[in-house]
Amino acid sequence: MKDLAEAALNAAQMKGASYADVRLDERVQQDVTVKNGQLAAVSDDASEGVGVRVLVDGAWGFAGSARLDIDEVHEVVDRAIRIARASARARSTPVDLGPPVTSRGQYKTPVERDPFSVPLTEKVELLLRADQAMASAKGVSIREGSMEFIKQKKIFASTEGAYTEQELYESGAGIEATATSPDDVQNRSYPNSFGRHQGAGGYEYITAMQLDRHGERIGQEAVALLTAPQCPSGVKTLILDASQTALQIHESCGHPTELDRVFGMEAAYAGTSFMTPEKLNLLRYGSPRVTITADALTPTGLGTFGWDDEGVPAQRSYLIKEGLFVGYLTSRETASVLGQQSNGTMRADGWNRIPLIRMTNVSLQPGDSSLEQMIAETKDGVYMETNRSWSIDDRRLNFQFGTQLAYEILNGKRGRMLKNATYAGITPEFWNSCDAVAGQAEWRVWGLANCGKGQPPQVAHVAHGAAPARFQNVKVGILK
Amino acid sequence: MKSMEASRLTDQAELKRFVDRLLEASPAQQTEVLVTEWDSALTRFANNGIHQNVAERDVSVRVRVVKDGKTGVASINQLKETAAQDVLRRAIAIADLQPKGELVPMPGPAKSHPVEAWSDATAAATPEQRADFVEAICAKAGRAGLKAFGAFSTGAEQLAIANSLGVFHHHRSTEATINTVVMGEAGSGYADRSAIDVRELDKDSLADEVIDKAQRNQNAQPVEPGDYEVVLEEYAVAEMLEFLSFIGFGALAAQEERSFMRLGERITGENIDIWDDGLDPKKCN
Repeated sequence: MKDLAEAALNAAQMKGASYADVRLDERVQQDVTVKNGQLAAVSDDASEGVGVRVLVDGAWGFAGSARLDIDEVHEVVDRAIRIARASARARSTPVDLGPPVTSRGQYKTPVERDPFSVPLTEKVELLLRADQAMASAKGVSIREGSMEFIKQKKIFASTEGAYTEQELYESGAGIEATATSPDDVQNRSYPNSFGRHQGAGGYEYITAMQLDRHGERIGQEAVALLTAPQCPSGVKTLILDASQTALQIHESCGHPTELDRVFGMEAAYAGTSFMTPEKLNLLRYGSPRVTITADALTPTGLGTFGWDDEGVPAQRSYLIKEGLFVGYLTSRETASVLGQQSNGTMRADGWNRIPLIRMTNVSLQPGDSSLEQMIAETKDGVYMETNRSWSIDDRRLNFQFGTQLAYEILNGKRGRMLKNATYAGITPEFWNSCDAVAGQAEWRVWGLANCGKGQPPQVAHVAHGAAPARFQNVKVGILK
Repeated sequence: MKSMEASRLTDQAELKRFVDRLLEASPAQQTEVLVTEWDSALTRFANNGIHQNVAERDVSVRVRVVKDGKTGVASINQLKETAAQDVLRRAIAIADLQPKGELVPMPGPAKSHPVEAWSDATAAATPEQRADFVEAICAKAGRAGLKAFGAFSTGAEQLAIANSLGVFHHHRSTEATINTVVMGEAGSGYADRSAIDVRELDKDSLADEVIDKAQRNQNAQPVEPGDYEVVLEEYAVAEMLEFLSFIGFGALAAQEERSFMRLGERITGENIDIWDDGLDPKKCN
């Protein structure tokens, strides 16, 4: 593999590239699904290939192929060079990558138990136990459980002398109960929604979830939601559980601090950002309780690695410091526009895609409160748990989220269960209304394996450390 | 430099030999092979210039085996003999580990309905052609004091499905698609086009539409919430249909009572018909 990488870089330089990098990727993925007490599907997928990115005349070209032989690598280089020359005909300003990156080394995700060495029967038995637990709740009509395991080996090399080898593991799982009536459908899932909770780690990450211990509860909650009252409308105190706080961070802080979005590079697809450079170090994004970091060194985070896909070392940086907007997620190209150096967030979702700025582990730092304390201090509010829907405009300002489960809070006590709970807000107003964040004991890293961006589309696996948090004067429910 | 570059898809006869050898090598009672191979390129532009420009060649070989009433599925992205043996071995291994379940037999040979969806011009589209197309839109937007953003893709794909009961079907297709957003200081416009033959895409009509929309949309004023008669343009209708398909048109969602669709129940006005037609020669899919 190393020979192919060297051959690609040599060929690119010989053909006029002022910079080139090559990524060789091998990825295996196993998915297991159980539905209504039966093993529904097991799939085992493998993909490998090479991607070459070149700069010619200040413009980018990229080509990739699944064939890993020397002739094909030369074809790929030729194609990337030709594409770059075509780009140069209609580029805006020449790409400046800033100082060279010369990282070298190896990195492997810490894994206690290799998920690919765990017998399939053990995985299926755990999912079936969780399924049975959900079935014990009368009235659940659909039960699903799934696991996903990924192992990726990747080599990165560049004409600047960088050469890194990484072996990255992910393990994820989740269960979901659905209850239906003639005029309603309600879901509850654990630990998170939209399929799975996922992290960088081995099978120990799955066993720690204790899926079978939560099946009965989520089954009962799904059924109870069918007859629960609608979440009332009004301006109230809102308390979010940690997983919904994580998605709030993702949509309203992670995405708008991606510097490629800020520069319009995603304007036709993923969108732009209200957090433009003139606001840097001036915008009061949130209350002093709000500190948000991007940290690719967070244990079990899906955004944890040794080096990004430009060879920049994993690192930690502030995006929001005690409420003040202080930093972006950057690449080499975008950072140099601001006179900065990349903070290492460029990742591609495979050999056949270029790296884009992606969140690493973008986390709200823990506070000094607790969920119980926040509820006890609240006179008239709503507690919401587990995401059900999300919507946010392309500048990441106006948002509305729906959650699976909610409880009213009256005079410091948790009251009735509520269904179809939603809340809406404007990003800086919302985060400036944050008056409490739970502490380290309730803080955990939430994996999000469905972040879409780019054309052709790419799906990134990112994470967010979060704890329950409280917000004041939030529009809850559907206002008329 | 070559003026044209044909998409490099595997020859159909060679693809059939690969599939036949894989089926012959399978020890399972029933085996199905689905091969999808594509060669595609995409030119992306922002702020009136190209900023990303990519191409890829990839393949997916998905094997499903049924052995002793047990099913296994595996896939790989190689068309080599060793890869075929590996993917077959993994599918069999998965089947062996599964409990015996309800067996839905694979279909036998049946008449197919070929659809002509191939264009040599699209398969041979070059990065220079895409750059020229994009440059023309950016130049028009620039002259209007606006900025253009978007992506222009061209690609070729072939699909072969075969099983051990004698089924073999092959289909090849091309697609050229461009989407663009044009922005001013206080508003934007959107337009897209898609065609099997890249020569049917008219850059001037696309640019005129999106620039006109962006210009008319500058300083648009908000409306108060309330009940209005609303006219949706075709892009909005298409997106709504796509989302409805996602959440409710599928038979499984209806069977599990998760869908708004219930057979025999009226769910729209009488003036609405929605149908699915995979044989429509005018559509890319």
